[in-house]
Parts: sequence; C-alpha cells; structure tokens
Amino acid sequence: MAKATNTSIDLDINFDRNLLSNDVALRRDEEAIKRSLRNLILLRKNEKPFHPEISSGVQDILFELVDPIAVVELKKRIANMIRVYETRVNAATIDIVDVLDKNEIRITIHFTIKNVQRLFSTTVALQRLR
Amino acid sequence: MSNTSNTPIDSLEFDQIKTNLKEYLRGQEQFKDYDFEGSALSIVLDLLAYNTHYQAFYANMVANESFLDSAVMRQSVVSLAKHLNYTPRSRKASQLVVDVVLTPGNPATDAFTQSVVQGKKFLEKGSIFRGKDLEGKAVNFVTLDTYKAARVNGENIVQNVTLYQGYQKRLSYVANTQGGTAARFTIPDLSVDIDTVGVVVQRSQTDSTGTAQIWKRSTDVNKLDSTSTVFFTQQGRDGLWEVYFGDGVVGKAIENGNLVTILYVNTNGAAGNGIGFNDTPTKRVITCSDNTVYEVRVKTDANGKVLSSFGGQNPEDTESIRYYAPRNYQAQDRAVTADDYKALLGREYSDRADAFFIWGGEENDPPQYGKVYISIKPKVGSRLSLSEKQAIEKTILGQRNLVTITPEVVDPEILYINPSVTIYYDESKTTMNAEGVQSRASTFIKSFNNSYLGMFERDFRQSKFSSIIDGSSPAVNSNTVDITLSKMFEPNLGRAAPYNIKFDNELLHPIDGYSPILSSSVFGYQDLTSSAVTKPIVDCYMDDDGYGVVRIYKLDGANKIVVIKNIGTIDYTTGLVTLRNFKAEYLADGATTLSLTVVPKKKDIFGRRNQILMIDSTGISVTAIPEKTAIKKNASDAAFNG
Repeated sequence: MAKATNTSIDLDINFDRNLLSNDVALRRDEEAIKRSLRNLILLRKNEKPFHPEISSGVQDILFELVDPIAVVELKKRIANMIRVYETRVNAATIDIVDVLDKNEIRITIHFTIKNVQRLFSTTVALQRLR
Repeated sequence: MSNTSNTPIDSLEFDQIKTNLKEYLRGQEQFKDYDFEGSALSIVLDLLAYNTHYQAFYANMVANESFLDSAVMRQSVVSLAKHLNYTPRSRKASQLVVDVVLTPGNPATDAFTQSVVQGKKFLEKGSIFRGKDLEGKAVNFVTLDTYKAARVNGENIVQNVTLYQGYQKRLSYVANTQGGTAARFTIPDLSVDIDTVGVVVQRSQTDSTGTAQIWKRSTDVNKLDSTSTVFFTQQGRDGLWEVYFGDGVVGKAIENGNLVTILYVNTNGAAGNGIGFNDTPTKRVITCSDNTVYEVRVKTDANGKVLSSFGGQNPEDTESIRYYAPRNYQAQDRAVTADDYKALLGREYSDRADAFFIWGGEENDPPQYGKVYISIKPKVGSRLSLSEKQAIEKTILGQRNLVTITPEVVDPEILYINPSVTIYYDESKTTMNAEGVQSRASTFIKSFNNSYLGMFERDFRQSKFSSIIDGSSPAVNSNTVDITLSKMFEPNLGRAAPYNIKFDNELLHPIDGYSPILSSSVFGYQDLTSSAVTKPIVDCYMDDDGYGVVRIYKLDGANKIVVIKNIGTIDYTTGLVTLRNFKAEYLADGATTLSLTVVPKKKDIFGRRNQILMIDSTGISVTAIPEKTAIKKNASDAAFNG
C-alpha cells in the first residue's frame, strides 16, 4: 500500500504541544489535508482578509430547512470549494446526513490524494450549541 | 532557509505581502502547506500579512497627513495651514444692500417724522428682514450695524443698509483660566460666518462692566499690545470654530470668571445668493418685522438692474486651502509681486470675485511706471462700482503694497465673440425639425461659453467649439463656423474725444482695398454732406475703407454715403481701432454703449491681459440645414437626393 511521504506539513491549528520536542505540534500528509478541508468548509464570507469570496457558504444555509434541495446546494458548494482551493485532492464524494435527533448535519468527504492510491474520508459535524 | 536579503519590503498590498511570505517559506522544509488556503499555515500567513499591511497603511497615512501636498483629511489640511498662519474661510453670509423706507408722515405734524428729521430715529442692529429664495422658501436677513434714518426727497428713509443672510445667535461662557489653562470657546455651529463674530467680555456674571465694548477679531498680531481688546479664531479638529484671546502681551487676556458672550450669524452660505432678484417698484419682496418699516427697496445698478443678494459662500474646501495657504505665506501679508496681489485678493475678496488678473504698469500699453493694475471679474455683473474699486485699492491693497506703487483696479475688457453657425444634419436620425436642432445647438453654445470662456487667460478654439456643436445631437453631420468680434465702448455724447478700441487679434485683410470688415451699431453724427446751413444729426455707422482708414457713413436706402472720410485708423495686424475727435450725438434707443464689430483673420481667438472672451447670447446665429440620407454611395450616377 502506498503511503504519503510528508508531501504536506502543516501547523496544528490548535497549537498543541508536541510532547517529544516541546515544539508546536504539526500535522502531516492526509491529516494536514483533512484539517485543510475542514477549515475550508467552515470558512465564512469575509473571514479571510481581503478575500471575501473564499467561503463554502455552508454556514449561510444552516438556518434553511434541510430538504433535498438544500442538501444538493450544499454538496455543490463544498465540491466547488475543494476543486478551487484544495488542489491536492482528487474528485471527492460528499455525503450529507441530517441527524434530526441531534440537530446536526454531518458532512463526510471521501477523497483521494493526488499520487496516492488510497481513499480517505473526513467528517465535519455541524451541530447547534444551544 | 531562504535568503532573506531577497525578501522585498516595498509591497503595500495585502496579496503581495502574503506572496512575499510564501516565497520566503518556499526556502525551508519545515512547512509545505502555505500554498493552500485551507491550511492552518495559510491562516497564520493571513494574520502576518494583515498586520504588515495594517502597519504599512498606517505609516503611509501618517506620512501623507503630515504634508500639505498629500494630506487628505480636512482637519490635517487645516492644521497644516495653521503653520502658515492661514485661517480657512468659514461659511460666508450673502449680503443684500437695501434702502429701508420708514413710516411716512408730515414733518410739520407727525412726531415720528420729526424725530427722523432731528436724526433721532435708527434702524437698530439685529433687525430682522425676510425674503424668499428661488424655491419660494423663506430666508432671513439681519442687520449687524445701527443705521440712522434721514429725511430724503420727502421720505423717511435709511439708505444703503447692508443685510446679512441668516440669523444672529448668541452664546455665553464663563471663562475658566485656573491652572494656567488658556481659555478657548467653541462655537458649536458649522454654519457660522466667522467674519460676523463679535465678542463681549463682561467682568463676571454679576458685574456688567465691559458690556459696552465689543472685542474685534484680529488677523495681524503686529499691531497688538497688551491692551488690545481682540480675539483670535481658529478651526478645531472637528471643523468647529474656536474663539480664544490674547495672553496679556499680544492682545488683552481675559480673567477667570469673565462672562464671554459670542454673537455670530448662522447663515445658509451660497444658498442665500440671488435673493431679491424679482424686486420691483410695484412688488417689493423683502419685508421687515419692525412695524415702523414701510417698505424695503432692493438697490439697483446704473442700468436699473436689481442687485440681488451676493457674496454668500460655503466653507473653503480642502483644495482651496491647499492652494491659498502657501501663497498667503509667500505674500507675508504684503503685496509686492503679482502673485502677492493675487493671494491677498483671493483671501480677502474671493467671495465677490470670480477671477483676478494683475499686471505691472511697466507691462501696460502704454507703460505706466509706478502703478500696478488689478482687473477683477465680479461674481455679480460685469464690473465693480467705483466705491468697491476704491475699497479694494485703499483697504485691501493700500495698507500692504509698496508705498511708491499705486494699485489701480480696472474693469475687465469684454471681447464678445459672435458665432454664425451652419449645421448640416441627418433628418432620419432625429425627431427634431430644423428649429429644434438650432435651439439645441444654441443651448450647447451657451454651455460652451460657461465652460470654456468668461474668465481671464482663456482662449476660443474653433475646433473645440465645432466639436461641441457636433455633439449637440446624434443627427448633426457637420458644421461650419464664421466668427466676428464685438467690443463695446461708452462714447462721451456730444463731445469730441479720441478712443482706442483694442481687439488684440489679427483682423481679416487679404489685400489692400478688401471689402470692409469693420461695422458698428447706429449712432447720431452731424451730416457734413448736407447742404443745409445747420448740419442735421443723422443715423450713422462706421466701417473701414480696406486701406486701414475708418469712415463714418449714413444710409440712403441700401447705399452708403460717406459722411466723414477719415475718423481714425484700423490696424489689421494688431486689431487696434483708433478714433480721433469722434463726437457721437446719440446712441440707439436705450443703449449706453456703442458696439464695434470686426472680422478676425483666424477663427481661434485669444484673450490677452485683462480681456475676457464671451459669446454674446444675442449674437449667436445658428442655421440648420437637413441633408438627404438616401444617397447611393456605390452608384456613381445616383442623383444627390436619391
């Protein structure tokens, strides 16, 4: 099985401490890309300085009713976002599950990384806080 | 790591700064995800770039706002102008000069009239008058001086009362100078006319000593001592005006507990201009709340034109401050060079004048050493009155110019351009008929006059003029323009005198003996060709003989009969018409001036020195000719009209 060899090295956005080196923790390879996808999905309009256009718009439709049309729209936006801003990822499949009991939307992205013959997936859950 | 010496530091834009940071990261192995917008590193780069951009912008703004040339914010420009001892102009109240007629009465029986005769009746300062603006809204005026009434021509009248547009307001402060703090009093009103501010300083709230004296605004510290009852003004950071006083050395200081009362006029500025324009002897438009006022008459000029309110201005804008502050500093409140005169007049008289032109007497034609000439184009009318000229010469310039130089204010010379325009237009491209096309072109010509002419040092360019007419309608195919020039002068009727009329442009004269290019309006002249013993006065005109000699002729039907063969000369090269012993007896009905018209050699006309070029709306001639559109351009034998 092919394994990514540190093609991606990113900071951990939580700025956790690496227990061994006492340095800031790093994310590597698919973990770095999963974090990147998560960040992209959660980006709101105007959140990125001077680039208001970089936004998935997911949070804009959170207050819409989760009907099939909203789900299709959401998938389209996320797919578009990944295509433009996360070019390390090949065509991704997006599943959106509406967990009514928990007032939660669960977005799962199944993707492959370029030059890596393996399927990865990451899940982002959007849940009401109160 | 990358070579940091290659990292540029001159970028100000966010994206460029971020790109520079990415370039820097490319040279290391620790992080690789800087190129992806979703990465945490990208977020960190965003923060770094944002902070750098913020600091760069801030430093740039601070530097910009520190110089008069580059400051953008008004408060910065005002503050920098303060270093040059320049106080920006506040809003200015429009002024209206009126005669106020009081209650009529018989001086033998009426006590009020007797008081007037005895000089005991006054129009008090603060009297309120009302008029209406162009939209019919009520507008207030107020007097700032007390005027004595007099008995003139059987009327109880107060003559030449200056009304200021606006309301007079009053503010009171108790001075607190404890702890050595300088007392400053803000006028919380952006509509104040700072020139109308008067201050009364009362010893305390309970002691009225000092109320009889009004402290004056000072603009020149050189004339002040420790007893000068003056105040100073400056514009604060919020645009509000502040009043402050001397320190006891330069200007009298105020004391702790003094009651400072500030009187000022709150005005509409430029919106107060033009009021009273519709005043007529049968319908007066200005009223007064004082019940002893019978009638308010707006003044008229020598030609009977109503002198409506004028001089109202909005606060000086940033660009004007930027322009005048260094020039004012350069002049140092002294009039030495032509630019000094311009700066001083710009500061002191720009509310009443559109433009100034100044030249030394040595440059005059003929030279007049020891003089400086100032030509002013007033905002209202075409020339200043004698009293206004004297006021400028003595009050504004007389105290500041060299003692050996005499300033003389002269009227601008108006050179009228009379365009005769023929327009060829495509009927199929417009719904207008020929009259409509002509009318629209006339409107554009008037607009051209307002935009390109009417000021000193402006020239008439025929190509620009033609392009304006071409643009008057999409249907206009082309146009041709013929130009004549006119100049007016006031002859001394019944008295022989020489006259020089300068057109200052080369005149049409292809060959000697060419047909006349000079013409005039009608005037009365003694008919020396008459066989009568007493030579009659007949309608006459002027022209030239084609050899540079000016003649006077009368008309017999369509035939010209020369009355005077040589009354002067015309120089076709310089455009100078000289008349010798010209004695007109009368002018056309209602006219006060005689008009001379010439044909220039070129269609580009130049305004020199204090000449102002204008298109006389009565001299515009436009002819619109429709062209057929169905010309078959690919058929050589096609008839012109298809």
